[in-house]
Amino acid sequence: MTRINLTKLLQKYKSGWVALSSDYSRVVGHAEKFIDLQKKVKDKKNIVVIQAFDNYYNYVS
Amino acid sequence: MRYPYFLAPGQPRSASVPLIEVIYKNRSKNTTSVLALVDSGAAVSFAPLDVALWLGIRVDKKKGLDIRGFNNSVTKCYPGMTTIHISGRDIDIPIYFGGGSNLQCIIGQDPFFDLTKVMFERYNNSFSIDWINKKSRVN
Repeated sequence: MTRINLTKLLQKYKSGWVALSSDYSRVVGHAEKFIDLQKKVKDKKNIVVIQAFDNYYNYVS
Repeated sequence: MRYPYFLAPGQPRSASVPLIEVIYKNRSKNTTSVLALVDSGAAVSFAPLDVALWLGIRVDKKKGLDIRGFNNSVTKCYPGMTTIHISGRDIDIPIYFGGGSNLQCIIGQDPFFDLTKVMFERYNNSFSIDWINKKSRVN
């Protein structure tokens, strides 16, 4: 299976939340707060949001 | 059902992580799809407090849990029963909410890993989630 590569799309975002198209091809929005991003994209379809981190390599609990 | 790993920015190299789309719900309100980490090392599932605020979920302040992170940092989280749509089903599970946006959305062991067979095949860039029983909703 091929990995979904988000490295280029997420590179400039270090914090907050990023909204992506559901095919993971483009960024459609960014906000520091989850609620603000939900308000921005609530009427759009086929959106996936992800938390923005400086480094996902230490993405552990 | 089989899912791909995601490649995300990281140091010293890009991170390969098992993320899955989750929709958090409460009554008639829901989030967009959110990418959450499937984490066999996490005892419970958790998410930033903002998710609970958006959904209007009431957390149980008497049952706070200190979530101890890998770097020994501690975040106080509180459980709130939440419907999540994951891997084709709606299930009701306690999500521990707390912290800011830096607290990751995690799908942890209790009770999700009791309900599913989760197999990580990182060498194959994939992981799979198969439901143990045929009930579509678990309370």
